[in-house]
Parts: sequence; structure tokens; C-alpha cells
Amino acid sequence: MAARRATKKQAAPKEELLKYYKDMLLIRRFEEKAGQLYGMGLIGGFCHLYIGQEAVVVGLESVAIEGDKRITTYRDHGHMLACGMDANGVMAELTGRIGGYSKGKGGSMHMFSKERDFYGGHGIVGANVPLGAGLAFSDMYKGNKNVTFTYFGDGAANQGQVYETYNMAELWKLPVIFVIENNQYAMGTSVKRATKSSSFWERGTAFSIPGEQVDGMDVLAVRAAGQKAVKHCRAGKGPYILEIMTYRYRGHSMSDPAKYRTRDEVQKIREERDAIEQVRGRLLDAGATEAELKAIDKDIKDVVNAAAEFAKESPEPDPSELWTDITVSA
Amino acid sequence: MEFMTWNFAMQAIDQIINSAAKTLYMSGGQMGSPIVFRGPNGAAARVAAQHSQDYAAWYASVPGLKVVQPFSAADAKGLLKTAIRDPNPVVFLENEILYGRAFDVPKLDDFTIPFGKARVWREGTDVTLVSWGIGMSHTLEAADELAKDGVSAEVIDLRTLRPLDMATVIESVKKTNRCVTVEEAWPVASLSDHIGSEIMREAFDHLDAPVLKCTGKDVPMPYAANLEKLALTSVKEVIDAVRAVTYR
Repeated sequence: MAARRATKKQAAPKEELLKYYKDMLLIRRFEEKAGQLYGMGLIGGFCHLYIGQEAVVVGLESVAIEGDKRITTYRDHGHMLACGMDANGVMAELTGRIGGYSKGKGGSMHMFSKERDFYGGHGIVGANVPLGAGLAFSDMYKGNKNVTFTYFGDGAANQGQVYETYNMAELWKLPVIFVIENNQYAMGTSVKRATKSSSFWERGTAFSIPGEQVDGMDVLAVRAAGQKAVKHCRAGKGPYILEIMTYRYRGHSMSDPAKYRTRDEVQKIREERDAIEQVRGRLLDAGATEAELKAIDKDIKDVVNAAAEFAKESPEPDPSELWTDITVSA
Repeated sequence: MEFMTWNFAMQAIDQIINSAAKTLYMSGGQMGSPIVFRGPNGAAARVAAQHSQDYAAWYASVPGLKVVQPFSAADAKGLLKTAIRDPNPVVFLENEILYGRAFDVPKLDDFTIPFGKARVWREGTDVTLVSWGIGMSHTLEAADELAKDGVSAEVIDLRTLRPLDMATVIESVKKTNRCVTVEEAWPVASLSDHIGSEIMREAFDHLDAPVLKCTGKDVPMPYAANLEKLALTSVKEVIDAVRAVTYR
């Protein structure tokens, strides 16, 4: 029932690799810029960067079809960019401006796009997991073939409501993919210190939910696992668990000095397993030129700089916005 | 038992209310729950709706709990010792912004502050200001400003929210004949409402003006910097309320 970790190296044509390269690089450059704006005081409160984990969302979005839904935690900027939300709107939400996806009222952790089927952006660890099952329930009820990607971290994977959700999801055969982004640290607590059995996907076997562990630094491995998962869900066979082994290079949030791990540990992964570098290597092997890649880098820098400008220039919400969107007028 | 913030304690609110607060009663007094739940409560800065909520009124409404929300560091120390020694479940509400504020703390071997005793921070004759926790920051600043205009405010820090020291508040209102409460939480079903109703019951004939409340606005906490300021109460709102009840 449960699949073993896929070891076969995947391959892909150059055009496909180029798309992954662009999508991952956009997330990385966007996050670097967000970090700068935070340092300048233009972004406040909490800001959780996705740098290092880009292959997870880019790999999974490559298997999504129109109408598929996604829901995640507060480390959400990458998910929004990967599902096609506009960089300007995301950045302007980070600066709390009217041009942001939530009119500046939600901030970094709480952003939504009905148009792109992005259901947040949630601030409480684990609390988005039952909501993801609810989204999947709506698709099952409507009888379509859509699935819901429900993302959460290794920290959330120890929350009780995750297992209540597993039970219902399998019982009702909900088309939901539980994506555990295992970046090995729940804020500052390593998986080893917080979890008795460190294999999270295996916990699904208690509920008869199949799953597997995936190399989250390899976008093609993520894509291959995602293909398997969506096939299972779209066939009406119920939920699937992907435990994606990834790594965040920056602190938990901007206020985390990350003293719970060594510089060497981070450096080693950056040098040896970085997702973007891996695709870059594959592209060069597939005949891409340095000039071609440089041109992509420049285009992405332009998009990110434009987003930062937009986020600075978009005005603050009108004071009257304080009193809107509290309840829907009946 | 430390919560990183009380916002996250909603994940455990059933255990706090249905188990910790009610076991003594449900067991006919056989067993209780001597435990202290502590952590920062209310808004920090720019952390938006899901991380900026004041639970004081929620927990203060629950029989079986004791609820404490200190303002000064000395009170935090003295009340925390009392909380640990208390045989009941205690909800101890701290504040992230106050963590960065310095106060004098007495150097005593065993410094404790009893529950249910408010502290009068400054004596006055024209109006009684009642607050607790971070609300005290606005209240004391407003009292300073009002003093410059010749308005003498008496400032009471409740410190314990359950049991509530209404006697100190009533005594003060009988002297000043006016009262304004200052609270970070939402206005509906707030502690301010409860305090106002108690004053009306106990000191109605002494009141020269309605009891007014300064609270957070009746909205989830917005992220945008300008809206966040508007959502919270302020020194200006306290001063305006005092001017209203003193007809100045």
C-alpha cells in the first residue's frame, strides 16, 4: 500500500526545466527582496521566508490543473507566487497597502486569492489542515476531479487535529493531498528533539492513507511524486500523503537568529543540494547557455524590483477599511 | 505551563475551561487542578488578526479560574509567586510590549501580592480611571496629560481580573462620581461592561455621568500600520472620554 522513497533520477526536457528554473528563481528573489524591505522597516510583524524550499511548491504546482485548490500555513509567499498570483499584490500585502491581496488587512501570514484558488495563508500551526479537508469535501460533493493541496510543516504534523483530519479524509475518500514540508525545524526545535518517530508519512498507514517521502530539493522528484498523488486523488481513491524533505536557509521568521543549528549545516545544504542550482546544472547539461540563464535572472530581478516599487507606492488602506469585511451583508 | 502566546492557547481552550476550571466542582471538591497557564496576551506589533487578541474578558468570565494580568514588573513577580502557590488553575496574562519596559522591582526574599487586590497608582478627585495590563500605559499617560489641564484623575490598576476588586473601584467612584475604563479587548461583552454594570448597581446615586469605556475596536486586528493604530485604544481616546464625563 505505502510506497517506498523514490530513488530513480527523473529527467525532463529543456523547456520544462526552464519553467521550473524561472518559477523557483522568482520565489527566491522575491523573498530576498522581502527580507530587504523588512530590514528597511517597510514590512512589519512576522515575515517567514521560503528560501530553500522553492522546489516543493514549484514541483507540485506543475501537476495541478485549473480548479485545484491550495491552502497553507504562514510561510506562504512561495505558494502564492507558484500558483500564479501576482508578485505586486503579494508584496503590497507584505507592506500593508491597499494594492495587496487582502487590501493590506491580512499581512504576510494571512493572504487569499479566490481567483487562483488559494485559500490562505493561516497563522495558527496545524489549523489549516482540517480546512484543507473541507475544501476537498466541496470538490467531492460537486463531483469534479479537482484536488486540494494541503500544506503544513513538521511542527504541525504533531498537532492532534491533523490526525482527526486524516481519519475523516480517508473515511470519506476526500481528494486531498497532505503535503508535509519537513524542513526539519519546528521554529527552533529540530525534528529529532520533538518527534519520537521522525517519519511523518508513515503515520498515514494507521488510517490506511498511502504516502511517501520525497527529496524536496529535487523539483523533478517532487513533480514525479505529485503526479502519483494527484492520480490517486483524481481517481476517487481518497487522500495521499507526501512528506517532502526540504530545508529553509533563513530563520523561522525575520526575528529568529537561528542559533539552534550551525552555519556549516546550512552552508552544506546550500552548496550540495540547492534546488535551483540542481536545475541550473541540468539546464546547462541540456544545452542552455549562461547568457540565456543570465537573461532570465535579469527578467526576474525586474519583476521583483517592480513589485517592491509597487508595494512602496501603493497607498495605505483608507481608514474606513477598518470597518469593512467583518460580516457579509445579508 | 507556558504558551508562546495566548493566541495559540485557543488550541487548548477546552482543556483550560472544561478540564482545569471545572474539575473541582464536578468532583464535588475531591480533586482540582493547581496549574498556572502563562504567556503574552493581546496585540504585539503588526502581527495581525490571528496573533493579536486580548483574552482577558473570555477567561475572566469562567468560574473555577483565577485570572491575573499585571502591568508593572513588581506586580508580575509578586502575582506569579502567588499564582504558583494558589491551589487553583490560574490564567496569567502577560504582554509582549510590556516585556520591553523597565520598572523597579523590590528586592525581597519572598515578595508576593495577594489576588483580588487592585492597586491605586495615583489618587485623584475628578474621575476614576480603571484599567489593567497594557491598558495602564495609556491610562497613566492620559492622567499625566489631564493633570496639566487641572483634571485630577484617580488611576486604579485591577491587577487581578478574577476575583475582581470592585470594592476599591466603588470606593473611588463614590469620591470622584465619574468613571472611565480602559481595556485592550473588543467592546462587546467586555470586562468594561461588567465593571460599568457593577458601578451602576453599587453606586448609581453617586454617578454624575455615565461610565464610559475605551476599548479596542469591534473588528479583527488589521495588519496595515495605519489601521492597526486605529483598532487599538489610545491616550487620546482616554482623554476625550474623561473630558466627556467631566463635561470639560
